[in-house]
Amino acid sequence: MKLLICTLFSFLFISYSWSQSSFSSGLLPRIRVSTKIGDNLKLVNGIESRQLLIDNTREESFDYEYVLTDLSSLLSYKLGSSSKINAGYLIRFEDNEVFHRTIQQLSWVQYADPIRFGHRFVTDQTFGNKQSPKFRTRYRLTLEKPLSGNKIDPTEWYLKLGNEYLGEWQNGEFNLEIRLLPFLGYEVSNTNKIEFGLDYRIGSLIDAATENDLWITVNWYYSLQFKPKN
Amino acid sequence: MSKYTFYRNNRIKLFVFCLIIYTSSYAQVKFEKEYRIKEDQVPSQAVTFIKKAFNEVKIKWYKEESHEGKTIEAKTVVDGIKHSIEFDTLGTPLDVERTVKLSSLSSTLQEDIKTTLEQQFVKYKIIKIQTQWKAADETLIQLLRKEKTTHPYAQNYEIVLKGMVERSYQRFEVLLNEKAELLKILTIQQRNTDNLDF
Repeated sequence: MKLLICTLFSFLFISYSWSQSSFSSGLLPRIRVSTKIGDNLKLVNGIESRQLLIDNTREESFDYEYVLTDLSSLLSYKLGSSSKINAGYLIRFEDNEVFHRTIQQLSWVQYADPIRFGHRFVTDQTFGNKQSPKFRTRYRLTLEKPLSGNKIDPTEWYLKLGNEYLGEWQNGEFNLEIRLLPFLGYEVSNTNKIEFGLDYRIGSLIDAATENDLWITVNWYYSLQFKPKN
Repeated sequence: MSKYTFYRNNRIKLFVFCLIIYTSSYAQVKFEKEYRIKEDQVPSQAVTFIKKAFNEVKIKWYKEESHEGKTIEAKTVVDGIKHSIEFDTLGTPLDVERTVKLSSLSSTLQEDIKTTLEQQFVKYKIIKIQTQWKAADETLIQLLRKEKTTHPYAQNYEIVLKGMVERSYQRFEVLLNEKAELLKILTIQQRNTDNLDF
């Protein structure tokens, strides 16, 4: 019954989005690998790729299309027991073009057992050869809750819900995007997590025609642990 | 699909494949787990203890496995106070913990706790305080029922805090006796927060 209601709700939601504005959907796998390089310092490397499956603005709405790949590298400095300042660089390969992005980030985690709240402020600047520079600022609130017990232990499932607000300036114009991020996560070990879920983006909210993007997402987070030499 | 795109896609697949092979060789497993169990999976001695100690309260039962062994835990809220009663696997009570506010403790004890913590940490912030009772079964029942007891019992304080040691913040669990003297300090291994940060 729950499956039926979810399917019906999804169908109505997609139908609404399809009829009201542009709608696209596809796959968005992400990998983040972190490596501790000092007492309070770590390097976080990431790769993500977008593949489009549905786009109602194309002649053939249902068709596979490779969109882009991002490679990123961030240095993360631990400020306190639960806060970090991060800075780094992202390179994007899209439509035979290369984009460069510089990123500055502040994040912290609040503990309200059994829930963890993650806060993240980001500013970034994107540069490409054929486009004007793009400046963005964003805030994301994430909630994480174990599905059994009072804390998330290895081999246990958890729920992660995120909500992000993103402001964007380009060519003197401002726009707003809102993201909803529901995930079902599995803690393989303390250094290894995998999450399945959706990344729903409602973009161009300031413009008349909004854009709806629904990405089916798999996130893999892995932390490399190097044993100290004796 | 252009030749350029095809080459680029396969290069990414190769990179991901290499990354998986490389990272899998470093996998580690942490052995600590807490999970809900039903009342019929709990030793009868523990269930009887709870029935004697409380009147009509909702109990959540947990089993905890760690490197120290297996225990059973009963969690409940009475008069707005969180209670946690720990048993061994046969159902013998080990201790009772109740969450309290620092301000509810006597001012002398607050000062003594502050002095002890300042000796251990450059800076600290208290997150949670629990009083911990260790005693014989009947004494623990009397304490939980707020009855006067003439039997001996130990009252310790278990404090979870964020503390700075050697210019680095970590979470610690500190156990103090009733005079706020240090009994034990444990470093709490925090769960990785990459999935909330990035």
